[in-house]
Amino acid sequence: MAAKGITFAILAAGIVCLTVSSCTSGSSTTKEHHDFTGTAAGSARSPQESILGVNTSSEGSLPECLDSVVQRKEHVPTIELTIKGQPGDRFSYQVLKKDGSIITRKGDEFKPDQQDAIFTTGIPNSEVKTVTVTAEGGIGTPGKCVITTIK
Amino acid sequence: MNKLFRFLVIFIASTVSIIFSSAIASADSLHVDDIQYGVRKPIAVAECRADGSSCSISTGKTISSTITGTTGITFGTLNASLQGSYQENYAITTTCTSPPLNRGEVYVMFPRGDFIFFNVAGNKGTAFLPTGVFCEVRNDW
Repeated sequence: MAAKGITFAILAAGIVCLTVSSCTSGSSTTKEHHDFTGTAAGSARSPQESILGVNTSSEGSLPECLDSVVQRKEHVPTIELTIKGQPGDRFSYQVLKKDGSIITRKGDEFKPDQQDAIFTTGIPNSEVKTVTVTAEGGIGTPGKCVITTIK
Repeated sequence: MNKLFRFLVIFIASTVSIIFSSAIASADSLHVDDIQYGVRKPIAVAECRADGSSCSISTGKTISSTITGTTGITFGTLNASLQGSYQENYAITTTCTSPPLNRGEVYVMFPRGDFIFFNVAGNKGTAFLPTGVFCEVRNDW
């Protein structure tokens, strides 16, 4: 009788252990999404580098802004820009509207711990033809770029 | 013989409970069910007002990550399982500049982050892990 009881107890324990191990092994962490949006600390810019990451030639049309420096927020009804920079940088933007009018606004100089600036323009996308961003800074070459892909 | 039986039952029960408790505490049992990226937390960090002109918000504040539930999971364990991309306390390094504001309008900065749904051995939890800020004009009437 006792031997039967011991056998039963061992079998029951075995089943429980198997259940636990299958549960834990089956619940390993999934990593289906890797689109992390955390801000990475950027490397310092050299004096020869362009603040906007694009070279502005003295002739011809302005280069298109890089999305990694000047990012336009998507799926919002108005123009909103996030511009990455370094302490001492100063950005301004000029909105050319479809009716020919121009709106210019200047941002403050980047503070010692600042890495980016968000400009909420309040101007509907449908009214905008282009947005020109101008950069000045303590380190790096100043310049301009343009966003022409607004619909 | 009866004593041996009792001893075995107690021993096995103890072993099983140890296995269970270690399974609950282990990071191996953490399962991320879903991640919602770029979620706005509806608690304002800062705000500014201006009548007819624009204003700027820049704060020296930090946004803390939050974990809810009774799973016992720490930020470090969760962050490691998400490839260590997050900061437990996110220092705001963004300045927001508003458009010209009308009377009754307020420019507000909100925390932005990723909302994580996870479970530890079936025990569910959620976490908000900050990644930045949102800024928008709100009507204050």
